[in-house]
Amino acid sequence: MKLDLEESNVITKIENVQLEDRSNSKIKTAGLLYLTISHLVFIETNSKREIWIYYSLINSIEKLPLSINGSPILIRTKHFLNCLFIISKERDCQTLVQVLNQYSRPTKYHELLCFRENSHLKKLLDSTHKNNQQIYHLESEYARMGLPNNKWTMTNLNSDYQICDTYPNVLFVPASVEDKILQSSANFRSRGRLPVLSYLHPNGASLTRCSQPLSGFNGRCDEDEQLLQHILMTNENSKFMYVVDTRPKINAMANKAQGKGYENETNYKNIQFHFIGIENIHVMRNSLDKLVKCADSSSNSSFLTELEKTEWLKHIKAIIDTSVFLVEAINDQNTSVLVHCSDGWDRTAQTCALASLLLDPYYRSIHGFQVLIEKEWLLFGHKFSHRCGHLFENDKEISPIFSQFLECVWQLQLQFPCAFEFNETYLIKLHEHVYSCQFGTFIGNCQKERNDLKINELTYSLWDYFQSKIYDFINPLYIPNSVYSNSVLRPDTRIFSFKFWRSLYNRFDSTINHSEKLIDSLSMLSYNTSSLQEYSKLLEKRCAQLKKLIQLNKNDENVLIDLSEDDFEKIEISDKNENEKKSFEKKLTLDEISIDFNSIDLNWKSTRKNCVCYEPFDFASSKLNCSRCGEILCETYLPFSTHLSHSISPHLEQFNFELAKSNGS
Amino acid sequence: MDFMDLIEMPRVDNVKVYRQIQNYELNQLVTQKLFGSLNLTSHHLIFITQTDLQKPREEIWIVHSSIDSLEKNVTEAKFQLMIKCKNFQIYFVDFPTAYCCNSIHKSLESLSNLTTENMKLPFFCQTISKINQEDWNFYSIEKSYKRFFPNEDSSEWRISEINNDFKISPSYPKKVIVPKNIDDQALIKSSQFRSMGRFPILSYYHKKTNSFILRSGQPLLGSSNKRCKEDELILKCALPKGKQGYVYDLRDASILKTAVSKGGGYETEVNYPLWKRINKHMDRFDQLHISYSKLIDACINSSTQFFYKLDTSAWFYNIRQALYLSFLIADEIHNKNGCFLIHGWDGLDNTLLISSLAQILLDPESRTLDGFIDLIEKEWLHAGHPFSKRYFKSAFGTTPQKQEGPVFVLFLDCVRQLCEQFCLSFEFNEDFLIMLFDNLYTSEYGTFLGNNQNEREQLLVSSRTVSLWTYVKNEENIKKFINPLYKINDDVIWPSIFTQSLSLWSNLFLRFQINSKPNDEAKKEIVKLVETNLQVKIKVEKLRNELLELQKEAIDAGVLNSENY
Repeated sequence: MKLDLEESNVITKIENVQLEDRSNSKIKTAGLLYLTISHLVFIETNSKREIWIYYSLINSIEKLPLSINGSPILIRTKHFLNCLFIISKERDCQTLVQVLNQYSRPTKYHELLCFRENSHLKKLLDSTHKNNQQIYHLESEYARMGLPNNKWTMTNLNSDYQICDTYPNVLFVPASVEDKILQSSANFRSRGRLPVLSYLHPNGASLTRCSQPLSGFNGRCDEDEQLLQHILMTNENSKFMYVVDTRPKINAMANKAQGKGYENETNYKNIQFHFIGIENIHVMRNSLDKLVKCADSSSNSSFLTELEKTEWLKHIKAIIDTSVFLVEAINDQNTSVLVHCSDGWDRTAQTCALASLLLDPYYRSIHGFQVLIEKEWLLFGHKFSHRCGHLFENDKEISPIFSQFLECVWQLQLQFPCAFEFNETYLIKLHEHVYSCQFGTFIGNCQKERNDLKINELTYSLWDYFQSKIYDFINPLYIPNSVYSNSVLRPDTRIFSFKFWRSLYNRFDSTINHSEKLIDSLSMLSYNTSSLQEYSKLLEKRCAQLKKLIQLNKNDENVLIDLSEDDFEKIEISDKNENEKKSFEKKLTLDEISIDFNSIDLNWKSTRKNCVCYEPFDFASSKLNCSRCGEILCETYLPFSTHLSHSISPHLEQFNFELAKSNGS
Repeated sequence: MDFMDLIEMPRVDNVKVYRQIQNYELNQLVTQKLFGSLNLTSHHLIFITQTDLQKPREEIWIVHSSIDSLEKNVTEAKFQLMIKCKNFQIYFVDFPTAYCCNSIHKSLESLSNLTTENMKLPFFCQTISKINQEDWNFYSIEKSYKRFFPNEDSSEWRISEINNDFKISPSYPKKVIVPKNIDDQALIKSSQFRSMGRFPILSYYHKKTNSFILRSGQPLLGSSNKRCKEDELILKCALPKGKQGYVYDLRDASILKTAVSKGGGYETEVNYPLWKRINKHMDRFDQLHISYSKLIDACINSSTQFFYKLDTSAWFYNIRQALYLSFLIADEIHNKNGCFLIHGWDGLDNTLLISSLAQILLDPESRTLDGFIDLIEKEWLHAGHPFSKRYFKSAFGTTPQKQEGPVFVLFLDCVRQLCEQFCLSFEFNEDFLIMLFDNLYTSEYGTFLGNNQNEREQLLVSSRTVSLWTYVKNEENIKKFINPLYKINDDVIWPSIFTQSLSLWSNLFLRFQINSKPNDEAKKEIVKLVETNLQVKIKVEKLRNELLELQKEAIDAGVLNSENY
């Protein structure tokens, strides 16, 4: 057993459980189920394989009709792991459902995992500060765009969230506008979400965002109209601006009856109004449900027809199409755009974030992408806890809006393999942890709520965790200054350019995913290169020392030379333990040379080999080479390695203690 | 007949040509309009743009045989010809008068449908490079035999030259591998009992388990229920003790009655007691042609219901089925005790597809560039796949005889799916497969001429044309076809056959519609990563040697000791 289960507070244990293979119902593996306060753990009897599922990731628990073998129970997770357990005793099955219902449905924020003591994360992230989330100041991101300037200014009008509790406390608005106008505009907009700056292009065209106006059938607000004029005036290059309503027209019309709606073109001067037609959260939720079923029925011969019926890729296309429209307006026509949907926190967040990503290569770096998510999603109040169902509340609020954004980015990665600093694994892990509740980053629905929950003080940040594993996430093909990635990305949005995201939706189906993962071999190749480069430096140094020894001997000097000082700057590249290093400072010995000499294996095993621990299971788990012996190790194996001689390449040493069984595998 | 007889108007001026090209800055398809003159030569349609001070002169060369279909659209105001090429490129040509339009149309119809092998392009392209006999003789059956049976004496198989004059089976090569204790007379008898004289011959021998794949044509049972003792003997002798024989009949069981009534049939259990017959459906080549046309139609008119159209084209069904059947065969051969005889109707199409795919899964050698070329020679060219008939038309065209069927295209697509799933295990890359596709329909090289070895010999292909492998082996060209990440994989590969695991071959089927630049950039980057890695390895190796030498020198000089010493 790889992890001490006692430590994890076992509630109960269920014996005689069978796990049915999802691709072949004839294949069943026998094992034990452990229910702890935080995990469901399945341990196979005949192998070392273990499946760990966080309760927070459980999406549905479904009891299927009784079979001869027992009671089947299908557990689906939010990161698309589907497990069908067959439990021999009906009573055990009831216990299971009862415990899961009790523990997997927290109703208060403070019951969530991220607020619990986590010895593992503590060990991993102790050196960093818990409140690292604060490194993303909105001001510094706007400063990067050259703000404030004579056109745009920062306002503290919302410093206590008094005009809009779902916006950040710092807002950027046209410099020429008075507070009174902002205040009135906020009153005229749904939930006070007035038009504010999202992104400023170097050509002066701006991307602003807001919620729908409370116009009803013929309501209007003079100040709101003025605010738009002020926004228009900040851009000297265009005489008009676009107002984009990302909803289908019919939805917007329906809102009119409730006193909401859209801007009347005749009331606002010099605006061009556009409906684009991205469907609402309910349509997206249903579409994902269909997609999951479609991906799950893996033997389904009419997969493509089923895929068509889910309309999922049509929705993804609509989001990218809209973003491309924004990009063309801003970049090609030098024209500002104001974007909204209903409340301006779902479709608006998707399209503004994606348009920024297409416009500015900075957002395609790892750091920039995190800034983008902080800004457009977290600070502008995308309701993560509602949309991801962190708490057991209203199911109708759940919708894969942020997941769709991640998928759009993945589709772009496919089309532009060299344009992004981060890889597919980064997106898959991000997707998982938006739901996992292990980190505080995505808990709550807006900045104000996170402040009230003291997220920064009480929880760990996902960004810090990612930073500690950064080598898993780097795209080895990234070219920061390439012709195709140093400027605007122009994706092909014809339907055949959109692919089914197999490694996410079939992430845990090893029979469906490809056996040889390109990304792993490329990453490994670049790790190998960099560790060999450092190794060659070590060898060069040793050669120089020996030469000096021989030289000095020839000069009839006395032999035992002190080799510290300038010959011996500390060499930190060897992948050996710290204590082995001290002997360098005394004298050079044959043993040392041979230890150094053998510290790296030149021929690393190819990634097609599986980890020495067990069969592949999670497609997103990365493989690494032990630099000493060249063996393949997977990330979940490392923390339990008793094979102490394994060591991953020098600059990866810090990850030797890896997050324990966190990822459901 | 002379080419000139077919050309009424060798030149037409004031012609407009439209084609879709990719604008890489805008990442959009744009229609490019060109003005100029159109010229017909014996093998090419050449369009030359008018000289203009601003624009340099542009030329478009279209080989006649690369034209798949022509559609004339003549109205009062417009005299247009749509030219659809076999590689999926489409041109629109506007003529100044209806008369020229009609005349050019007529000429192109004839020139692009020439069936006389002797008039085909390779015979007029001897100058592209020197004819190299070695490349024509790249493959030999002796080479295969040696690979399968390194020790000839202990082998139960022999090479028979019974078909030396192509009389027994016109579509078989001169030499074939058969069980050692079957004499040539028995082979002759068996050939009379098999469709197109294609008696059972050895296709692949799996050394690791001593299992094998045979292939043949269907047995000619007929309604009189004929049997052939010699044929039965071949199968009996071939099967070693302890092995289970399987006849893989690539036709649906429901169709067997029809086959019998037409004089064909299947191996009956009574007469072949050691062999278990399994019927597995594969779409026949003519159905596959329909599937292919639907696939390309979906790719070209992709706006609505794209995935649904892809699905109904059945192309993915065929890929899955082909990979699935080869997977089953490989599993039996490698993990169990199965030996196989594969056939369908004549054993010219799906039989070759399945046997060659199974070999790619089983045999690491066939995943190298040379091994793959050997496989194409052995399982397709020498095995008598009718290249000339099957690839006379591509996705847009048909002939009344309906002999087209892109079985080899399906094969290439299956291999590409495998290359994608096993990105480290193949020595050649996707570009190599696309190059093969391009030469399949229209080529300057003689390799894919004719329908079998017999026809190629009669046409004197090897002395009158250049081999495609001469082009491939050229130092400059070969670089383009090598997968930089290739590392030999001695294991059998087990592909995933779920539709999710498969992908549309966009670099081929969408080649004139997608922007390939970002992907080319990534490919270059991969090559760079591999090269840098190699450089640093060489450096480390050098330093290690240097260090060892210095160490020795230091020990000799007595300045270096082991700590424990």
